Amino acid sequence: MPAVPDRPLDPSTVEECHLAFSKMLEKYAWALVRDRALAADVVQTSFLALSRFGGDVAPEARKSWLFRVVYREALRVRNRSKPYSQSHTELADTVLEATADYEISPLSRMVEQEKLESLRKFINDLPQDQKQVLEMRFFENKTFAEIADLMQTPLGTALSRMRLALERLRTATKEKED
Amino acid sequence: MIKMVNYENMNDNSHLHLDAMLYLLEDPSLDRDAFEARLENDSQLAEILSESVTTFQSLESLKSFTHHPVQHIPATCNHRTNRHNRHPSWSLATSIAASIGFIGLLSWMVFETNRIQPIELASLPQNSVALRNVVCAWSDLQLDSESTLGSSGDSLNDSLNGPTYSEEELALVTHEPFSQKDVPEWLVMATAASLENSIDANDSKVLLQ
Repeated sequence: MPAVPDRPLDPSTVEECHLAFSKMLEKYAWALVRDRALAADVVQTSFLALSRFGGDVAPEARKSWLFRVVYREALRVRNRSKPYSQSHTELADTVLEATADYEISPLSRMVEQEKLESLRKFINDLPQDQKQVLEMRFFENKTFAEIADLMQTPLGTALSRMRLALERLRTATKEKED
Repeated sequence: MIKMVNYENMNDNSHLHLDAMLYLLEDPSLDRDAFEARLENDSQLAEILSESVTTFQSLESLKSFTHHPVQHIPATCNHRTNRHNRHPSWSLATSIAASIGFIGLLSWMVFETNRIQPIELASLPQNSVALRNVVCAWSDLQLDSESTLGSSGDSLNDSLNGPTYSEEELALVTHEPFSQKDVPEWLVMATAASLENSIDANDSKVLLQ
């Protein structure tokens, strides 16, 4: 198979793209590989690809191009490492790893605490039925089938309550950040 | 101030957000393979997934680091959880108490140190064996250093044959023993302190007997 010829993109544009998309892409990669270091590697490889082959990608298409490259690279990395069969308990540990700040300053710890406090308030302000679904799913690790059974509602209703709860949380969090 | 969101404001992508969250939660109600296949060509879904990671991680952090009313784990059963869930004010109180304790211990040590009065040379018993030993040791030390200074510098020769003394030094060694006044005070105090300790130890032994 012949090597793909380089179509380099100028470094300043690569830097701009990195500033704009790298965090978002790291989260995306993390969702696929569930490992912070691997996700960072995936994103780095993707930006390397952008600098070598992104020269003829239209500026408006760069973001989706990067998402696609990250997706393929993440699946490649994931398949190359261990089979993806983490239990939920293991998942919680990797989440801690992903959210861990390796150089936690007292200030960033306070900011983190404040964010968590806000999130707790947002959850408390949810309508009771949505709050109940969210709590049972996140904090009690129940499946939606179990939740629907416990609440004596159809599965679709339980899922719908979760969807609404997440939407409210997302909007409230965004408003606070803005 | 928390603003509540109207249902009407919710965008049409909320079902995609739910799918993304189900994917992150590994919920069996979502077909993971089908979802991942959609991800490859749907950059909007990919973006939504990355947004959902933020919410997911925040909720997981909340679950991990703070006490939640739905957790009914007895404090004695899970020490790790209990420590993680400890209220910040408890940690602060513990730190303050530890600091106060440490300062108190330091103060006590300083007080005890100052309580020991310096012992005058004259107050020491003249026939103290320990003090005599110290005087002898000190005189030997002084002579050693003086002989080193006064030697010819042939250290190899000295090592082989022993130090060579001048007449004055020899006289000092043979005829002029050191007196207590030649011993520095710090050495006398150290000796006196060790004497006191040994006396205390002897007293204890007597008491034990």
